[in-house]
Amino acid sequence: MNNSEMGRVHAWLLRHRIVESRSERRSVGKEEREIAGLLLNADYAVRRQFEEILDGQGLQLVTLTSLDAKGVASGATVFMLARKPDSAAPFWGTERLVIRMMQSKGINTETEARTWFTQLWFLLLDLLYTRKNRSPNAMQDWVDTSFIKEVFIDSVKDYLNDQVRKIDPSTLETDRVYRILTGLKEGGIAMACNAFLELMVDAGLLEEVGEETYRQSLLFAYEMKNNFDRQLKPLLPAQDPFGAATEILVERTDEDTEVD
Amino acid sequence: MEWVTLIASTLRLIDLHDSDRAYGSPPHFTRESRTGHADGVYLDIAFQVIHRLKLLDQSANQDYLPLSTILYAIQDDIPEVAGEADVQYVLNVLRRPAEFFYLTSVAGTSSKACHSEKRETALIEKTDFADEYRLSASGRMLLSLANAARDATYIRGDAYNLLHAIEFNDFPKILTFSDGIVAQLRNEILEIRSALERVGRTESIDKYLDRLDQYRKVVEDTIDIARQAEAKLENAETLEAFEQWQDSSGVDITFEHLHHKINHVRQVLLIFNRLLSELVSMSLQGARSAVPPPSFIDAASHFVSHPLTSQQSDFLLAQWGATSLATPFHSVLDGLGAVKLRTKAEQPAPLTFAEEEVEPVSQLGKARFLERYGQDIAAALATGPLCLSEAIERGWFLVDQEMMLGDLVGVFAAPSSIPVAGRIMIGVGTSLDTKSVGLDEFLFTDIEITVVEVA
Repeated sequence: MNNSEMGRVHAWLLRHRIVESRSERRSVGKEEREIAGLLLNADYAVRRQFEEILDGQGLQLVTLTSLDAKGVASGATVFMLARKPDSAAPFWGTERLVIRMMQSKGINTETEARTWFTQLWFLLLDLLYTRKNRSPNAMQDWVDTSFIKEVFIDSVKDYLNDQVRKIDPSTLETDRVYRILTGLKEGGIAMACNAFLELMVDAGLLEEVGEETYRQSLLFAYEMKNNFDRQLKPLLPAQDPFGAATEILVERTDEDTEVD
Repeated sequence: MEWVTLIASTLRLIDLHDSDRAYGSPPHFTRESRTGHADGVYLDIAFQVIHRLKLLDQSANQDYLPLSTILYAIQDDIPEVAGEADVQYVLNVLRRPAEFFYLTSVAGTSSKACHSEKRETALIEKTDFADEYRLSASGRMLLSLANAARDATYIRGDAYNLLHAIEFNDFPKILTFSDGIVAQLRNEILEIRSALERVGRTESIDKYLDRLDQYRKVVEDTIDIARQAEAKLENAETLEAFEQWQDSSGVDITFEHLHHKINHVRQVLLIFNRLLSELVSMSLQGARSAVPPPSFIDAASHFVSHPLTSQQSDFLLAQWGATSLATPFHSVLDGLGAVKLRTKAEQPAPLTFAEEEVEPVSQLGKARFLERYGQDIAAALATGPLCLSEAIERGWFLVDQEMMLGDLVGVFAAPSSIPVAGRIMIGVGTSLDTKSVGLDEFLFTDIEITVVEVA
């Protein structure tokens, strides 16, 4: 890999975040195959240099083979550009995110766009982790996270109806978020969800595995595994320590076969 | 023996075989309950019977075992339940042939043919006129089937198979065995990785921890065998045999490919070994690092009543959100084919006619010419003007039998190379001159050159 090729690989990775040499689930384009080939065949020294450059940008080049993670085609290699903790790359911005979210009916300001995105992101995590009783460390389980869009939108609506609307706004110190969340009509909610899913797919954090069907990407699962403890947990409201302890002790058995 | 795997896989197939669902009706599968005592006694007797018969089959090849011996062995083992009638019942079930139906594809057509199978479905055989039993061909297969379901602790045997395949120069088998080993180990490796990640649900990890010593020994042995296999493959004899085999069979496998495959087996084994060590150290520390998931939905509603500060929200979006490049970076091939270049058809260059074609003066020729006649011309010029016609008359157009008329004319047209002092003036005649030389005739305008004394 010479410097020009390195630039090419760099540009591609920055845009798409994931490069697969081969995949059973989707067709890998010629350009992506070439990028993967360049990375696979790169000299150790060059590869090292590339990783150092990325490191300075707050990014980490992750290489996973079929022996490292489920869902990787046998013999194939996946390269991913993961964000390192505490060093969010300055050239990554949220402009596109804000613009796309604001295309939903009823989301008119940047604050609204950002609030909606954050809330939807937590609801997605609830779908991917909490409801499956999956530990944030469990990267391997990314393969069984697929969900259809309808399920996500319904869970958002349920959340708004069962939790948000039940809050008495007069008890809130500030009802900023409350007003933003309750301000959207049914159609607007679906549009916001669509925009959210589209952004997540575009950023390589979700995969669109079928029509209206999505699943967590390996990159998302990897970032979650590596950064959750330091980068997300401190932000979350403190859990009841005893409650957390009992949850560890409860093992969930496989679902019973469905009986009609 | 892994009966569970065998029975589990067979049960569902039997459900499908026995299904009386009408084609096209709703897809729910409702029948779940199985009839019976739900205590496994009959199965246990059957396993005992088969086990006995197998032992006999190994010692006295294909001989029959009397009922009394079977009875004795089983009552010894499970005295409380197994009466003679019960054992007799199990034997009757096992020796009853079953009829079932299946489809096979017919070569050359897309349709499938239905077959029914009744022969060779009984698991044991009885002699016609006495209570003596033995395993049937299917019964013997049953044991192999139950044995085929096994975990990585049996990988050593597969590695030996690989080694033997190399010893016997059975090259296609090398690929089969190595792929088999890698595929099985890959599953185990991914299992361990999942187990390491999701501690708290312990049943998956205990499978490994309980039999860790066994695993370690097997893996170390297997790595050793893989190493031997690699060494054997690098043997000159093996290479020779491979070349012969390749010539005779015409199969498209390279030696490097084989080599790579076996090397891969060893690498995979090393990874497996390393993961086992990781498991040990983890179990020794007792550190169960994995945490149950927090309730993210509660977090979301928490942030409704306690909104994130703008710094927190910035951080969250940058570190976790769907950020994208603020600056567009382009790949070299981004715009490939986006702009179609229309190339104009090449137009033939119009024919042009040169106004006059002058015979080129060759430098070398001119030098030769001047060397031969330069002095003569200079001498003639010293006495007065010199005409081209005069020079032709003197035969100055021939140099060593070679026609050099062009050079002669050249010297007259550009006379600066003539070795004389002073300027030379060129005068062009007005009439057409003719000179006959041998059979040919020159037709030309006469040129006169004169030396003008420098004042």
